[in-house]
Amino acid sequence: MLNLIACDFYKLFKRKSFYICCLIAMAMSCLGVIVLNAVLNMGGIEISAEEMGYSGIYALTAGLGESTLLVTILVSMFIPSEFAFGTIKNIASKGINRSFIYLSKFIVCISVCFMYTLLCGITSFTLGSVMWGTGDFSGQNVILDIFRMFGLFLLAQVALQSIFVMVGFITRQTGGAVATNLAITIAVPTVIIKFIDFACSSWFKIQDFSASEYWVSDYLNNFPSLSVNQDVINKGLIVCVCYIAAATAIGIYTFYKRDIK
Amino acid sequence: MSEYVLQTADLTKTYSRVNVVDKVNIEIKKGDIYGFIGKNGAGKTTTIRVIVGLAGQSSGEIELFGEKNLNIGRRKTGTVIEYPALYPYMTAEGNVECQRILLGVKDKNKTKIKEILDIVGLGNTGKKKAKNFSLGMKQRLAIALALIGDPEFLFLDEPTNGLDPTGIKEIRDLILKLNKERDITVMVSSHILGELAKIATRYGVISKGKLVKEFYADDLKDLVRNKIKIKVNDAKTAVSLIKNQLNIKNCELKDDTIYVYDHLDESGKISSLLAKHDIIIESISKDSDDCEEFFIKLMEGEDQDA
Repeated sequence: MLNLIACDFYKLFKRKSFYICCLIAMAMSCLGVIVLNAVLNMGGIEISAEEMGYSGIYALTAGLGESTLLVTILVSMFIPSEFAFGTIKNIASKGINRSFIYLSKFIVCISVCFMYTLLCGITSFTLGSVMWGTGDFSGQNVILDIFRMFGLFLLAQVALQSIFVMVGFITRQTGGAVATNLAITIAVPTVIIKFIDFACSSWFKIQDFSASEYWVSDYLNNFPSLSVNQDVINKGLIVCVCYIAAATAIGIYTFYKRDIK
Repeated sequence: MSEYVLQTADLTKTYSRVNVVDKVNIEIKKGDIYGFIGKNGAGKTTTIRVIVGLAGQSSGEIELFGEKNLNIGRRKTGTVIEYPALYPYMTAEGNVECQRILLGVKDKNKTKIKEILDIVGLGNTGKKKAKNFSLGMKQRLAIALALIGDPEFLFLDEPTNGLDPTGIKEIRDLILKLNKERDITVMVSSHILGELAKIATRYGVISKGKLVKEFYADDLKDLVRNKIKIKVNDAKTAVSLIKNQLNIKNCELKDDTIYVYDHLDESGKISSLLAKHDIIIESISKDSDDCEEFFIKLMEGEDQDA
């Protein structure tokens, strides 16, 4: 298993797309901060950054999310490429357990989430600190809150990526995986969730139900904040763990069941 | 330890209720170069894919190195199936290094990698990426990957597909070298008969998913040797006359047809001898069945007795 993981990291670090996506994610984090600053100085708004609560810490919360799209694209290319190049045959024909092959790739994708999120966070925090100052670290729990926010965001992102890893193993095609994963990222929250909410409230007269609470990307938006409601955290933890477990189980099962061409 | 590196018993693979591999019983001994011959779609690749674990069998049994636990046996094998499976964005060395890491092979100074690349003739490719390799180079690199971990048994599925004659010869020579110098047993599939006939020590012919025949290379010479085919009204007397009066020992009677394997340029003498003894000759001809025709007949599913 360790050899498999080491081999997958070797392949990841040899890919140009890993570095390109990383740079784009960091650039987008910077751009996010620059846009915030530009909005502040635009149209004669006479509120200072301090009054708006802008700081390095604020930039950090704003910049974390920029990594998601790029991680999605990288994962969507990384997993199916083994099938596209046929190199999965070199691994699977060596008597290696297929669940180990799956888990190894998933672990590498979790690492990519961690690296990209960390780099995006550092980038936006650094730029925000340069522009507006670091922010107030004097509070008792600020550092702890930052770590908690980072951990929760990472968990939500891993939950989302677990779906993308599963899709990669099911579609086995780079184009198909990228398209499906982007559709999941964009279409599910904007169309399907809204439709389910509409159906529940209008047709089934269920008023206190919100499907978005059970979709992982809701937590990707909610978690990058220093003051998240404990109820949201609890619900988010359960939803994310369920997504990770279900997607991994389905992914491993289909990988076992289907022949490798 | 078992003398067989591979044994299958009634190996069957079914897709959509069609047996694409149908009760195949293959036996490959250590040291063999096993030529696995069949037309496109005969079931060669599927058979190999099932054996190496890329596809599950529908029924039947497989033993690798006398082991029923195939995961242990598969670690001692190397596989190249269909097209070369490489990382195009890596160099030859990068590709081999990747496989080395996967298999946990110790190689501190990269001597093993260099040795393997030298064996396949890719020692000097430097920083050239695999995507820029010719097909022959890619095929050799794929074999290099299969050689990592010192396999005892190589599966090569159509390794010369799409190669020019020089490339075909290079791969052929490489297979022979690996078999002779490294004592690697090889199962090589192909639908091109000529290339296998030059290296295989044993053959298996598959047609419509069924293994129609298995035989040694030495048997092949007997199976396809030139002969005179004679049909007469009294075959037993004719055989006796040919053997005794013309002193041709290598002569046999099969299905009312006389086959003469020696003195192939003496068909005139045979005719006049038989005519002199009032034996009516219905037909006399030189049988020109060559190796290729023999295999084609087998591949089309006509089983022949050895």
